[in-house]
Amino acid sequence: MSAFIDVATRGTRSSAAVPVTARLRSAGVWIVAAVAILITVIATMLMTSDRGTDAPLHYDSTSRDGTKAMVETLRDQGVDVTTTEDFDTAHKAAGQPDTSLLIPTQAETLSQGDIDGFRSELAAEDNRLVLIDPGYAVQEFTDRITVNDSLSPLASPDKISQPDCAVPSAEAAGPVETGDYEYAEARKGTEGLRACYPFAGPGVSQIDGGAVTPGSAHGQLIVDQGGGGKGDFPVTVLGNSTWATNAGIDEEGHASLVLSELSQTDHLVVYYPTESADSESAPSTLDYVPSWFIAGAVWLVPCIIVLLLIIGRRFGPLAVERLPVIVPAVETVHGRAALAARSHDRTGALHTLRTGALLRIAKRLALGPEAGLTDIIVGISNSTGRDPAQIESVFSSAVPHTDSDLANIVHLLTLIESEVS
Amino acid sequence: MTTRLLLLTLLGIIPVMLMPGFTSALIVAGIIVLLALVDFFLTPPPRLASLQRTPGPMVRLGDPTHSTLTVVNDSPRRLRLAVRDAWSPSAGAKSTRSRLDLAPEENTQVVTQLLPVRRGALHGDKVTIRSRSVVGLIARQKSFDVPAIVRVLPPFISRRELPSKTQKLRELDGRSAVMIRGMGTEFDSLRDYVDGDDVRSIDWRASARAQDLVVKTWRPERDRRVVIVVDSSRLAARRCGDGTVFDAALESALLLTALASGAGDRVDVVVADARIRAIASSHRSKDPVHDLSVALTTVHPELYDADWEQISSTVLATSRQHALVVLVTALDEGSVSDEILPVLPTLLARHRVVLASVEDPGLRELAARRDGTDEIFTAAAAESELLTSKSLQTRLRGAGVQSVEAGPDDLPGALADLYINLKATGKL
Repeated sequence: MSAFIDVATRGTRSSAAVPVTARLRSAGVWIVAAVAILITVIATMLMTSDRGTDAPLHYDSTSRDGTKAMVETLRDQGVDVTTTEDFDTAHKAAGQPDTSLLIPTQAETLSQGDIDGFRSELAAEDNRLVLIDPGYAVQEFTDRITVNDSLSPLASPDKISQPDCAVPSAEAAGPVETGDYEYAEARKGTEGLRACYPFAGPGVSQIDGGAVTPGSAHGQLIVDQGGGGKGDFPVTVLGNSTWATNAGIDEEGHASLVLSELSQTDHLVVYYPTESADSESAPSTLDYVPSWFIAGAVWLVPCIIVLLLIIGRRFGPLAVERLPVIVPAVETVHGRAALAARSHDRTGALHTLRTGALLRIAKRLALGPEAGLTDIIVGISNSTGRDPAQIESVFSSAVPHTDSDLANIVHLLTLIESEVS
Repeated sequence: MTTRLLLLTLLGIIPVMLMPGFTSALIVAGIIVLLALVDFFLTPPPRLASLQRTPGPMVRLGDPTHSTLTVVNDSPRRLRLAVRDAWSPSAGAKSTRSRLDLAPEENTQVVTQLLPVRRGALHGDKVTIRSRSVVGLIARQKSFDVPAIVRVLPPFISRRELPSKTQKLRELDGRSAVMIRGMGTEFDSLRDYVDGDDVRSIDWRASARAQDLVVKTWRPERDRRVVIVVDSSRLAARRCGDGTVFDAALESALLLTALASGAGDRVDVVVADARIRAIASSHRSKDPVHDLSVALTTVHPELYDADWEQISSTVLATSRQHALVVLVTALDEGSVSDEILPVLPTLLARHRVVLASVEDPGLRELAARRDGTDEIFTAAAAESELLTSKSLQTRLRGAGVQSVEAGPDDLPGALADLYINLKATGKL
């Protein structure tokens, strides 16, 4: 057969490498995606590291209520400062000789076990504990110091407090800003305990009825050398956190006071307790599942990733089909019909159907093109034996007023047309 | 990524479960990634394979063909390949994927069986090669353009009507003595009288010479010209039955070409819309039907209006002598009255013009269905279409143009009958 003559266009592909630009173009999406991911990761890291040092009195915080300035100044002065948020690290570091432990805030979140751990470590080396405005949590660390609750409620202390004591660092520092709390010795006349910066001003007086006996030593700075007994260690309470903050340390005598109190030893451990550190939650169901089972279950994740990569890889792009143009034709008829139906053009529709039927009947009855309506009606009546008046009504005169009228007339029209032979 | 990598990853669950912990899981994952990376660099790149595509023979629509993909390994490495020989869906490729293992300098041929479902030039799509190493953890993949075209000719289903129509035409031939004398016949030869011959065709002078009854025989005119114009404008893109109007028009043109060229007439076919798309002639052609099929293969209707002035000038240029001009187009009121009727006088001055058009079988179906109100309105709309085309036919007859209208399956036969009729009455 001549139809099988080969006039093929034969295509080849040499093994020449694809140009670099084309490769780059196809790899462009991946490069852009990689860069976008990298940027996101870097931005996230930068933002999270910023956010991490916003905590008040945090040693890394550069905001107004941080203490980075204090820590850095101490380091400049040659103090070996260890900063940590981890209890174990702080615990270990507090046990070294010639060390002070500073707990700047949140002392109340420490558990009794943690506090006992610190106490034994501190007592072993006679190391000093420094607390900044600890509130009632101070009683957990030592039974020699407490919050002064014997202050008259009508007191309105001066904004600036004077040292008013024999502690050299306080005398050197001079006046400081007044805080909210005053601390006092737990028992009147405790040996080795000195108090500075007592509240002074109108209405300041000690009243009876609190845990602190009136006349006990009291002030915003308590320096306790310890009782000398087993388990005792020196404690210093700085009663106002403003003294140590980045914003407040350069005011009044704050810097002098705080720095001299903290630089008395060669080593300083700054422990910033975080709440979640030791909060033990109730054992969940997961704790009863063996760890090998969890490891196996988690390992399914890379398995699924590999499976998805295998399934998701398409064997080449989709084949393209070049479709020819096709115009829907009957749809225009449907559209025209819908228009006629919406405008209730029953007369027009019936007229068309009548004309079509009459033309077909005339052809079937072998009537020439010159035959008129009356000739055809006579022909139909002769052929079917129906009443000419009825035929005339159906094919010419009847007017459809409703849709059911139209349906009836058309039905009869179709019937008569089928009867004509 | 292959199934083997998945198996390896699944095997990794054993050490991970034996030594639970983040570190051991990380180590196992690292080993797997490392193995995959090493395997990636061990895998020969897919571009090492040279490709050549040889399309099979051109076929009529409905017949199977094939395409041969030659894969040559001209690298010194062994290639383990999965090959996808993609073709557009209408090419009807049965299975496009195959696995090959090629030693260095070895080549092989992959034959893809095709059963096209659409006429035209079907393009081969990309060839995708996936290569893997002995271990086969990672498969490298690349797609290449390897151009190839398989030509699928119009189906010419109506060729089954050809024998009967040719027979009908032969009945007009002089060998049959029942032949009517008249215009359009020419003297063929003399032969002996047999019973049943028309006594009017006895040649008395020859009979006297031969001392026996001799009759003259006649045959239809030969070497007439037929010009078939197939309209490929937007009106030919109408959906009609299974295909488009254009498919039916091509069938008609093919059957008429086969019939007329068999009867010794010269057939020229012009396919045109806003421009001339294809021209084919049976003149000096050994197989006019095939040549015409090839010329029509790549032509598809376009969404333009036909330029009838250009078409008529092309027709006039094609044939200077008297010809039968068959316009295969649509009986559309707008195009006939505005475009065709104005150019008819120039054509009619020299030629005999016949208009053939495809009737949508759906219209009669819609016109006959009259059960509900909606259907009555649809029937009226369909009836109005039918009436319009009928009135157009009447108008054309008034202008001296005969017209045929039939469904897509019947049009080729109807047009052939019209040709035979014209031939018999010597109106060519």
